[in-house]
Amino acid sequence: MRVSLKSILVVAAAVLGILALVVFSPENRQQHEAPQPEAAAPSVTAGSPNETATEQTASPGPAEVPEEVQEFIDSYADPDASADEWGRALAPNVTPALHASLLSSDRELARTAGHEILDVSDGRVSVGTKTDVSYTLEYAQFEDDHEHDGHAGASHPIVTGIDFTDAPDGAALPLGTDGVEQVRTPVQEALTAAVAQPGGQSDEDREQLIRDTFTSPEKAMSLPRSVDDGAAVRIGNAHELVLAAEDDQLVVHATVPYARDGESSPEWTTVTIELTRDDSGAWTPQDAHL
Amino acid sequence: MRRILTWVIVGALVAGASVVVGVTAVFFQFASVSSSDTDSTNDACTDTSAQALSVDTSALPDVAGYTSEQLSVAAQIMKIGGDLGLSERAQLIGLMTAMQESSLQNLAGGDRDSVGAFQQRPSQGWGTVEQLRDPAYAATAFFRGVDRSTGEHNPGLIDIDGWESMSLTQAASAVQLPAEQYEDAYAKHESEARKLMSELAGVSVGQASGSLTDANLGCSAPVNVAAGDLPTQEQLTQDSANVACPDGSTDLGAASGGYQGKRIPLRLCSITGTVCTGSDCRDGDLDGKARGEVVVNSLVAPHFMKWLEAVRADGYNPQFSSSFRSWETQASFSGGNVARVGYSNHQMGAAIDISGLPGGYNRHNCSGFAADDSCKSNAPAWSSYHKHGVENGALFHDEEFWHLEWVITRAPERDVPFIPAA
Repeated sequence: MRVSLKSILVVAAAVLGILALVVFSPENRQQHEAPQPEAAAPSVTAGSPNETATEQTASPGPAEVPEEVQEFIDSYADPDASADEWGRALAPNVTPALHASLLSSDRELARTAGHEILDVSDGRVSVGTKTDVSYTLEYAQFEDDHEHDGHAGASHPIVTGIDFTDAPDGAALPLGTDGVEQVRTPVQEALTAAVAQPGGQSDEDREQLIRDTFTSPEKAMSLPRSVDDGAAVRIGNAHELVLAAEDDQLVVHATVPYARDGESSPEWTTVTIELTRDDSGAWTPQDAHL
Repeated sequence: MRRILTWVIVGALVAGASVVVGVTAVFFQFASVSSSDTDSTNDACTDTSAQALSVDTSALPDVAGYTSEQLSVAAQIMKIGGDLGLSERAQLIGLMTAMQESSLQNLAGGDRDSVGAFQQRPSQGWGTVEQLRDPAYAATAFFRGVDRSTGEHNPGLIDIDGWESMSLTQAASAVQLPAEQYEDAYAKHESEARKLMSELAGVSVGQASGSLTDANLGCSAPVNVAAGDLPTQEQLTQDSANVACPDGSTDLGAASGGYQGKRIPLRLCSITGTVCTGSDCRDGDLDGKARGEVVVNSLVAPHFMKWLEAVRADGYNPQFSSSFRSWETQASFSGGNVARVGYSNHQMGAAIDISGLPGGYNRHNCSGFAADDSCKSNAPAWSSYHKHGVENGALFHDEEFWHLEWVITRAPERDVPFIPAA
């Protein structure tokens, strides 16, 4: 059989092209180069960790996770711990924001979630019962990188988010791995009530809107108007949402632009929105302060 | 032999071409990742234009303070706006206009030959009296304009260039062309109009107020450029998110800094060509925005860059272990000798920690003090850093030889010649 030169060239080009792609692919580059800090550095804004993120260490094998993550899994599923004991046991191994969300989450969901580790990969751990995955958590390695006082850096993993696989409707879920998206809508509603102003809005109108938006607006009532001459004020979407905790309550520090109606050059403000759960377990604004 | 040589040459060409193809493909892979990674404000800038509110004109609710005629007129304006595929903002402008012109009444007369809810004039080609006393016709004319028998077109709202980004009262005026003193008169009805719309649509005021959010706001690159002069302490402690990052840096977007316990909006700039290894500047930190470079606020960035250029001209190329710190990072560090949260210049993006200087990085480990009380290091590089720091508005901390800051919190305590004390 005679094979044409053209055919050989085409095949050779394809093989070598694929080879080059494999050799130069980002995944392989990461394997060959020094660990990249950015590879698994968790979002500061997404988790407000106790300490600062550094690189992710190599993932343990299946069913093998860092001690802190194992502690979290066991504590989370503990059916007998009182609410206080449960909260205290979870605190060291999760971000403050996640901890705050856990305290108001559905405890029964936690009790029935199981504590068997079913899969481990790239900082994500699937947990459940036998073969059923109840939730997948994400953890990251954090390092205290004090420069001052020659402080030796300590490093430990910390759970940053929990995604449930098939959560029942109405369950009060802990913050997921994309916690910011879970709170974006109620935070924007809160900002609309607190910062934006329809033209001609009276103080009474504003107070009513704040009462209608927040479940317990004590501090929000004292928020100054964004402009005090009664002009119409628009807001943009929040450009920075930082999840955090204050007194064990989930809060979001939202940085948002605002401008008089018809103007395009905004001013900016950062408002802290305190969140609580509504009857359906979803997050809703409770109060706000600067 | 010649055949073998041909095969060798062909093989080499194929291999070379394949590598080029492969590398090119990989380049595009990286390019696409990079592009999405740096597009960090996309979520905030996603257009969320509020859709029109729907209203059932055959079953209107009772609304205190409004007659059935007023409610009917208002509902028809909303319905026509919705039927024309317009937004909640358009419905709102229609309602505000009718509130100002007729208090939502279908008037038989008015100023000169004005008639109907929008007080449109037959003599100006808006329609016949009969037509204009039909609220549906009048609303349609307001939104879409009217073709006159003369061939001209009376522009309606959607004919007005840029009506969506005008203020509500400007948009209404652009259609109604009132006397100059009444051009702002429509604005005062917004709050009432929103409340009425929420009642007629059966939703909360909040749900009827989607157009209070303008997704484009804050999404244009800021145009204010930091002045060549050093920022004053007052400027450094106020909202500076509108100040653009200078050339030679990457805009990381608006963020919140901290000053005297309060969060202050600012704009973060990542300084190209620097290396920073600490919290919030490591590649991927700051919600994926940090690039492994120094991060400072946009007011400080030009002066930091001048400082860096000067010390590099002296033959030094410093690296950094810390620059901007988020509130949460500062909170995690706070305690001991580290400033409490809300009180660190790092939180305002106005301080950097220089790594690699000799000696233990311990507070009070000073080899002496400069005239301005800066904590000295014996390293020749430090002298360069300090000299050019003073030239560009920065001092070293009085207890830490590695910490250079554009003084904010400690200005009153230091005799800073170039920054007035608070």
